[in-house]
Amino acid sequence: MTAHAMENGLLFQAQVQRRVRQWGLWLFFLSEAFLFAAVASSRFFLAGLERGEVDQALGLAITSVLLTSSVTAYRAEVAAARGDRGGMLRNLAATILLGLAFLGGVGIEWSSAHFKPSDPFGTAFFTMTGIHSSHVASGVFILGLVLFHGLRGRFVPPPCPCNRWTPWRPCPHRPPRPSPDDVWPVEASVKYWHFVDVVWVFFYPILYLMSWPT
Amino acid sequence: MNERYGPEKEQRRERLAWETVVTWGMAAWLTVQTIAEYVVAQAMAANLPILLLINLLEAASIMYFFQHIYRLWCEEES
Repeated sequence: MTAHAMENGLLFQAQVQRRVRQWGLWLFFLSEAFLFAAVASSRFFLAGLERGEVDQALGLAITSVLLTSSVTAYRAEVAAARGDRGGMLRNLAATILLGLAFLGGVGIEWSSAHFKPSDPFGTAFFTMTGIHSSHVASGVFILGLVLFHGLRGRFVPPPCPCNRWTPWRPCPHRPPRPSPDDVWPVEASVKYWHFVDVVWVFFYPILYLMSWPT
Repeated sequence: MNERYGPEKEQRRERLAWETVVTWGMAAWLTVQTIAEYVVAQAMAANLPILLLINLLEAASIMYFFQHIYRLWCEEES
């Protein structure tokens, strides 16, 4: 076998591996989506189509926080892909902070709720927000792990040590862009974060906004 | 070859411009949708179909622009 053929074979193998990883992650999201759909449908079964007595301002605030965190998570992913280590770390840290703020908001909602967990709407509300918040907490943990490893120099190589960087004379030894394999942990964790965000996009109106006169 | 003047520099600049457009475009889009959702919910008693439509749009845009779902089907760059 020639060296060229071997190289092509390895390249193909790496591409297949990337495909399998992508599909595996999306199948995981699909299986999770079934869980969330089942929990969401229980709200209609238990509490019907009427709106519960929830804090509308707080609901809007935590939704805005979570959507903003999706923007910073995207910024972290693209920064990692183009080899901008500082941008990746800053945006990951911002995403984690926003995730913690969301959890704090849910905690406030729980402590100030006007309904009991034994009420039909209360059962649905605490179950849905509880399951979703546990996913947010796991997302924060995963992003924290990625941040920790990123700070130690994984995923994106540290900047060139020649110290010649100045605005009028950039360092000529620009490091190569990291490969998709290098930044896969960042990409996967950020995709998971977006998934949690998409779930909340549906949970927010179901719990806070929806109404239908019967 | 010095990439400061080469095609790679141009590609990098284009990619950066696209990422900036997606970031701010999506931030604006999500803000508008969230506000619209809230206003519709406060103004209308029977809001379920409209909210569902807004949510589907919102989720689809996140899945497309942030999660890059289209990459499952298209050929990857070598």
